[in-house]
Amino acid sequence: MLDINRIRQNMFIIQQLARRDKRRENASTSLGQVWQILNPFINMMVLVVLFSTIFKTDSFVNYPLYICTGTLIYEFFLLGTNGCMHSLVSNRQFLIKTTIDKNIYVLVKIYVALINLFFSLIIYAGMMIWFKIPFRFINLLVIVDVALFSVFVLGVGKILAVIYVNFADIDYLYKIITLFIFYGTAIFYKPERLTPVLQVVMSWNPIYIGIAIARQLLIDGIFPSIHLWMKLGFYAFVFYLLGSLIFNKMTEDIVAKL
Amino acid sequence: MREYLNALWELTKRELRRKYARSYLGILWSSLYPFLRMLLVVFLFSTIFDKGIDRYPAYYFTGYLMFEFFNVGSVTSVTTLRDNKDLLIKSKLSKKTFVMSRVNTAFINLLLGSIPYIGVLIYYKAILTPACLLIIPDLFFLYLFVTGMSYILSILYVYFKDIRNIHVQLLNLWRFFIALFYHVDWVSPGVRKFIELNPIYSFIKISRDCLIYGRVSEGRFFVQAILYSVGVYLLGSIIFEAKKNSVLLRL
Repeated sequence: MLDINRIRQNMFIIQQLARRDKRRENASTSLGQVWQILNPFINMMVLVVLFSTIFKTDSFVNYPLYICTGTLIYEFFLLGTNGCMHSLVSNRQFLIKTTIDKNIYVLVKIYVALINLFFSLIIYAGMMIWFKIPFRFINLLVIVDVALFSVFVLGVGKILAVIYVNFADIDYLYKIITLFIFYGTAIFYKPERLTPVLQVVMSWNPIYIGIAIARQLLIDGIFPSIHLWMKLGFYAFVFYLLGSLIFNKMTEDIVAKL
Repeated sequence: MREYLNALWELTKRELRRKYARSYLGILWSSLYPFLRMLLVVFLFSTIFDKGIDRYPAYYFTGYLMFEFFNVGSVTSVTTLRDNKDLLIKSKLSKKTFVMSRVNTAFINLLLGSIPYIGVLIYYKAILTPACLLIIPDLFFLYLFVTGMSYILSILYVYFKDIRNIHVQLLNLWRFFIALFYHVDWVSPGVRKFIELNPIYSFIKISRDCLIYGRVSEGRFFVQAILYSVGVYLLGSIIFEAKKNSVLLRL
């Protein structure tokens, strides 16, 4: 059963569990829901201010937008994968006491990450207006970019979820890995600054590909090369398949392991 | 007094155990993770920033350990009064103990992280002079500073839950103005002044100077460190004492 069917049948549960997550985070704060937009906004501003003032190395046109596209996608990847990683263990009670399809827990985390991305995009749209970047129809293709990327993140998330149940230390290792990804993906610099070998490596970085497509669609307003789409599709397909296989196989006796 | 220390130690142990409940390496991660992180950052930045910073890995590692102590210590303390609501009401433990157990947990992690740190100092042939003893008062005042901050934050949180989000975002910004992975010499004079006035920076500068370079920092950094830590600790204690009973009603 594909996740698409799962989503369709269980949309209500997914939304309820997502709401529970959100409530835990911002329960009875006076600003409450505003934090959903405030947090991404501050995160973006910190990086933009940082790289525009302290590290005035790479100031090219629309540098803030360049950075923000990168952080948008990267944060989505981070939130999605980290959320999925902890999803099975943190829903321990539900897993033991109910017979809800286990995939739902992972899907909820992706959903939560997507909502966060959505709010960030609102801020991003505001920035586009500020930088006088015209809105074009081609911008809408970013939905396809995000959709493919989400499938990729779901696959990675499933793998991590399974590993985490058996090996909680992956949490620490993954922190290091994501830090490496953050600096190793051309979020705040141009890949042209790297050696030719590293540029080739970068061109195969799935997170970079997701970012590059978004940049070309939103900032430059051009249709990204078909190679980029194919690579992203490839990663989405491979990781989704791998992730689902591992997930379905290894979670059969999960209740015993928790 | 002994009962108090005992209770404090038990609470701290509980925090530590909870943190490493499900991992194999457990508490070993307190030493391993900072070390791995340092390796990564040094590897990434050695091509860009290594020019001009003597013994860069040690330089970065010092700042990282101290800021992480401040970071984790203060962030985990924010929610501690609410988290331990039941114990607070039912037991006769001094409320300060709950804040201190969170700060202590972070401090123990600092000490554990220092184990690979000392290895790095040796490997890079840090200049060893009597000045290195200054680390003891340096850590003491840093501890006071973090504790004072934590007292303030934990009380504020009971009244005003947004403080947690605000503090996390503040730290997000703060971490870039303490010359963690770059050198003050490289920024504009205005920014430099701002960084040097930053309390955390004083602690880091003193520790770097005395441990890595075997020298004593300029007097003003010591003055700043002492003023900030004593000031914040006094402020924190006053606020905590004043509000600790009315807080019970709120919880």
